[in-house]
Amino acid sequence: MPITSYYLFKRFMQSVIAFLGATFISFVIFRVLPGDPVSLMVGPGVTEQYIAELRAYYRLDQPLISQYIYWLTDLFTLNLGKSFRYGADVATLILERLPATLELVFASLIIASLLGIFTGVVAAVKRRIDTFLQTVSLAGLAIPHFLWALILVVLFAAILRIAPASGRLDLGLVIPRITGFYLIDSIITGNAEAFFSALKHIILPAFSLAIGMMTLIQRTLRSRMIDVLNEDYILTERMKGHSETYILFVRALKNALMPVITIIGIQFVFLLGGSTVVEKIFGWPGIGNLLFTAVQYRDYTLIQGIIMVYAIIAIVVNFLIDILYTYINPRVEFK
Amino acid sequence: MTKLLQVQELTISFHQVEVVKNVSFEVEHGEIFGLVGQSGAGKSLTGRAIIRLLPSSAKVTGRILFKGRDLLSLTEKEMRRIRGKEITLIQQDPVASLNPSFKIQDQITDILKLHLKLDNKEAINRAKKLLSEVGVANPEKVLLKYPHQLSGGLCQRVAIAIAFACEPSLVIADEPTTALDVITQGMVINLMKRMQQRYNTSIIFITHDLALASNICSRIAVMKDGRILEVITSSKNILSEANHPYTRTLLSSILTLKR
Amino acid sequence: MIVTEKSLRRTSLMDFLSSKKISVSLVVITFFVVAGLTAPYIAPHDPTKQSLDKANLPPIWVEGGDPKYLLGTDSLGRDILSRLLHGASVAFYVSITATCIVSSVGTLLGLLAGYIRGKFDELLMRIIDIWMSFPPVILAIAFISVLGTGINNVVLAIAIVDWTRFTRVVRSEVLATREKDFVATAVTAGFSTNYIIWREIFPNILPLIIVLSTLEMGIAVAVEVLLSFVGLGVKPTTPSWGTMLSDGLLTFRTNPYAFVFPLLATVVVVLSLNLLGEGIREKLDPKLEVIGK
Repeated sequence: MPITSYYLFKRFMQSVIAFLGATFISFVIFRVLPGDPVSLMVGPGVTEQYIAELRAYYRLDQPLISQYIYWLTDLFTLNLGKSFRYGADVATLILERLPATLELVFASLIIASLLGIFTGVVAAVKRRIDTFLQTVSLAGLAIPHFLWALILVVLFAAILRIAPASGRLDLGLVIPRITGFYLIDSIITGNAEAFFSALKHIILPAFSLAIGMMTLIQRTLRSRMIDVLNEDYILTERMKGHSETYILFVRALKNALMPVITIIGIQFVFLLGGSTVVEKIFGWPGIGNLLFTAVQYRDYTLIQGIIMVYAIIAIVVNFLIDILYTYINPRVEFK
Repeated sequence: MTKLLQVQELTISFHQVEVVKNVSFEVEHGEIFGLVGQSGAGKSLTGRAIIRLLPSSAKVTGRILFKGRDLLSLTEKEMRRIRGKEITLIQQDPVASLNPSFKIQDQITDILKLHLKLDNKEAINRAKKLLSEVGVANPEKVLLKYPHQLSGGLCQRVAIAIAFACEPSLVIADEPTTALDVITQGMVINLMKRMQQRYNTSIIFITHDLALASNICSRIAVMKDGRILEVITSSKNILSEANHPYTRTLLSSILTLKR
Repeated sequence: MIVTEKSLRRTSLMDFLSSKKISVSLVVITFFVVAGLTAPYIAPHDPTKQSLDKANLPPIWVEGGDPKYLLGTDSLGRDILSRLLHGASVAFYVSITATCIVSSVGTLLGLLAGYIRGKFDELLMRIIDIWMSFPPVILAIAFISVLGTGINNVVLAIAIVDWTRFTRVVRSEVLATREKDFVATAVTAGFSTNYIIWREIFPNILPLIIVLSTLEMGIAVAVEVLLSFVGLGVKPTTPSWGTMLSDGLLTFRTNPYAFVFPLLATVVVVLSLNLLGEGIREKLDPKLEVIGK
């Protein structure tokens, strides 16, 4: 299907441009500091010569253009520089913690999509559930992720005590690192105890992130389902003798998913951002938590690397969502 | 032998307003029965009532005896066994009546798998045969296409294939040619005649076009304002005398054209 | 004389107040705004004054409470009520200032890009696309790490991060409006671009701008509280609901009130601003759809 391939190619090129732009922005932010970044990093009581050496190391005295070119070439060799505070490669530090963030973010996406779609379909057909959800959904939409995290952690961890308040795993449990995703690795190694421990720990943070998107998905899907269910082809499906459940969740749903995918694409970047603070609240060992430490220590190389990685995740996921788009809708046209 | 379908004192109302009033008629096995009237006469609703696909706000009274059973007394589950297998429906807008997100293949094999319990391979084969029967030139290619890639005429052929897939006893055709151009209309009419003869299916042909109905139907019920005024016969395109003044008016307008 | 189409119906104040959403949320917000404005005058204590001997007192209705500290004290003996009041003034200062900046910039750019189109529009949209590939929270954190903390830097960070979203929405509304007949009439009548933008298009997108600004205020409050919560917002000496939350979270076991009160305040204010935005949207133009946050 030549049209689809052209569309995807165009989107890929757009992603590349977005990526380059992101590199430029993350580069520029720290070169426009008021004051000298190096002295801010090292603090007082250090020799002038040490500062001069550091400046040379970070190439700060070279013209901006060459600095940018170095930054770009380093990026392509996956060299994100050395963290000042940790003394280790930024890339290594990030890769170590990246799976934790990705696991959290994807778990939230899955929860939001499944629950959002299910409640959306149900709301389209059951009036009472619909009215209930309509009142409740304003809260879901208006309250930001970190507030939900605080509400949930206080309700379920502190008051009801049915979920842990922090960490990824109970103390003493160890999961070998195959993918870095605890939920997957524990299944692969057949460790049920670890699996449930990981599950217990991920539920609250993932839910805090999922609530906002779930509500949007539910609203959008409900409205689209109502339109779809009034179409002629649904009458044909009913005429064929299919059960109402099959029609709802298979034959009608596929036609209603397009705007949902769009919503997920738009909202993903907000979910990604929210994950940073949620990581802090739940002591989740991902790159969000690392970001806060980096900011605290003014470790600009590390900060730069982390925000670059966040941008990359957002760009890649958006591109994947576009691919999904073309699968769901056989009629997609590029703009 | 009992008649295939006996509609007795069918009344359909929406929000206390009667739109189909005390309608009664019978359809024989293997007969093409016409339901003719203007827009709003209640013919489509009558057709939908038989297959029990009316909007939920509709209130229905009366009896619809299909092979001796009263369809209005069946549970939804029992009715689902009849829909698609014994009674099917063809709609006016062929492209809109097909699901845009599924290939033609899925939309034909699903009904075969559901009622005839065919496996995937058998279902696809039968789908191919059905498409050939309805006059589709390249069944394999068409099966893999989506509805928006096909013309209106082709879509209506597919809809007819779906309607006849499980060899039903009764097909309700609700204005099946209204959205098509004249030439395609003729094609669809001939196709339906062929299918009817082949499977000895009864067809309830709903239309506002009396001339068209006289072409294909053996008997025609004329409806106005929710009631059946009279039933006339049609044989070799010649209509019987009509008693009701309304029918006479309709007939005379056709005869004027024919002259 | 050109008759302009105004979707801003001549709705009176009474009509607005008849909406439950608007009246309830307006009452709540007014309450908080007044609280914030009068904080320096009505707060019973200095919000930063610590009295370690009076730490962790419960509110007055709980046993052990002290009538001098109506809502109790936090772990450092600071009066919760006074801190809440000052926190309100911080929240609304940030919210109103940031919203003014974002809505002015966003409206201006949206109008120009949407109406004039051309290279400017293309370039702007490209920049916005790239800008928006960064999660807003991350970008805000990055800016604060460069600019430093402090209430005005928070305002700046919010503005720098959120102008893109506002601009996009305004621009797409302008794109829709410019296709309308009255615009074509004005063009053929020979009115200048300037006139058309400001006297024809702008009044028609005003309802959208009002709704967006109200929602923006809700977002701004949330971001201020968020940044202060992670220690990247106001200076540590300034009281903010965010800092109250982070302190309160740590001492939740011993003193739940120090956490719950600022949480309630934030949730209520953010909800009310959203409710107000929704209410206004419904009143002004029910067809207006504002998707996404």
